[in-house]
Amino acid sequence: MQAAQAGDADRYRELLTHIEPKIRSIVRRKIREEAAVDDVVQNVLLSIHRGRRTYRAERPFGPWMRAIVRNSIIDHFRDRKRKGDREVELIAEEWADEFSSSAEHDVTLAPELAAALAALPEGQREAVTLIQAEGLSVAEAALRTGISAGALKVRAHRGYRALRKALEGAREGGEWKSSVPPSAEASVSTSTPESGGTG
Amino acid sequence: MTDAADRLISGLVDDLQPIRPLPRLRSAFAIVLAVWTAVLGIVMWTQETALGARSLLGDPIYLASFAGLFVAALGGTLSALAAGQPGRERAETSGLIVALIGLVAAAAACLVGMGGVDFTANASPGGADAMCFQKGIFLSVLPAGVILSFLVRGWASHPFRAALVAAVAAGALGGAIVHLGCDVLGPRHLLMGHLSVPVVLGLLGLYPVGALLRRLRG
Repeated sequence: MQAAQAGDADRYRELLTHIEPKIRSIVRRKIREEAAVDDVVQNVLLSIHRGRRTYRAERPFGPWMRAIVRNSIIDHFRDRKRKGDREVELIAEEWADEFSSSAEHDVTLAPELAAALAALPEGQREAVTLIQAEGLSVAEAALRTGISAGALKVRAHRGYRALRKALEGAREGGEWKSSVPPSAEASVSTSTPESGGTG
Repeated sequence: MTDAADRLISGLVDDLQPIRPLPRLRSAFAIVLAVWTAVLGIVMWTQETALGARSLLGDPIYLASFAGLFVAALGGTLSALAAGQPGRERAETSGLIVALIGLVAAAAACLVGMGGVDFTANASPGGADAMCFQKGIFLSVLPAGVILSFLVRGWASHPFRAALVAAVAAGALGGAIVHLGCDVLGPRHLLMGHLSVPVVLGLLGLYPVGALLRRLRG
């Protein structure tokens, strides 16, 4: 870690690769669902990265790392309870299906989805696109956008809700009423999903 | 290792920049105390009515409430600084307990001096309570800034608890300076004008600072 603090990328990669299985094994003892384990492990790695300044060479690395792991696990349960993580996951899965079917049946659904996506605020659109279209995990998307994993989840959740509302409105109204911006068409045609990660 | 974890590690490695580690806990603590001592020195030097030290030995209520405030400041500072460093939970908890004991002891001393919870009796002259309170808040700003500068660079396990303790510690440091430089010695005044500083600052700082720390922590 000292080498990492000095900016040695190779040693840093070595360290993270070495501790990842240890972190995973600690997390697995507390959390059963594999998807949640992945999320927490990635949050821990992200936290180690963000908090690497707090490590001091004269103190052992193990307790420092375990404190971060322990707090990330607590955060996971707290977040789940507070934000209704279950709901987020269900909606995310539903939207993963929606994205998949939009790719398969591009003719009927893509314009609606494109317009609904285009109408989302920038932050929500980015969160939904990174997680659902690019298939990034929450931690990866958080790193990419420079915000916390929790904030990204909230944005994605709001985005899913807005998309659902917009799409339901469009379905109830029969045909899609508003004109679809060309940029939105383009964004959907390029946003082929790779996987359906959870939000 | 999963692909996602592998990708994340690559992302983190790409993002790596050389950084300076935070100072040791005891060094950070010494820096905060040095700043506090400097502020105290300036106040004592510029203020004409700096008679706190003179009164200290004469009035047991004054002495007890000052001791409580100072203990709360020390404990709170230690707890706040430790809160930003993973693996220092023991120091964080001990500091928090010491800070609470200090605050409760200071309040108890004032209440004993007042002979009960009667806030209408022995009102201080000329809005002295409000004046000392404002001064206390003002004198807390610098210590708060120093404590926060360490906290924001750290990784707080419990951001809101860290924020509360940091604000209480800064308030207690400011309150203690006011205490030493105040010439109104009634226990009611000590409670309303001096001891209220850490309590109010703690309540005011809890949400904004906690949210900031939570956001920075990720």
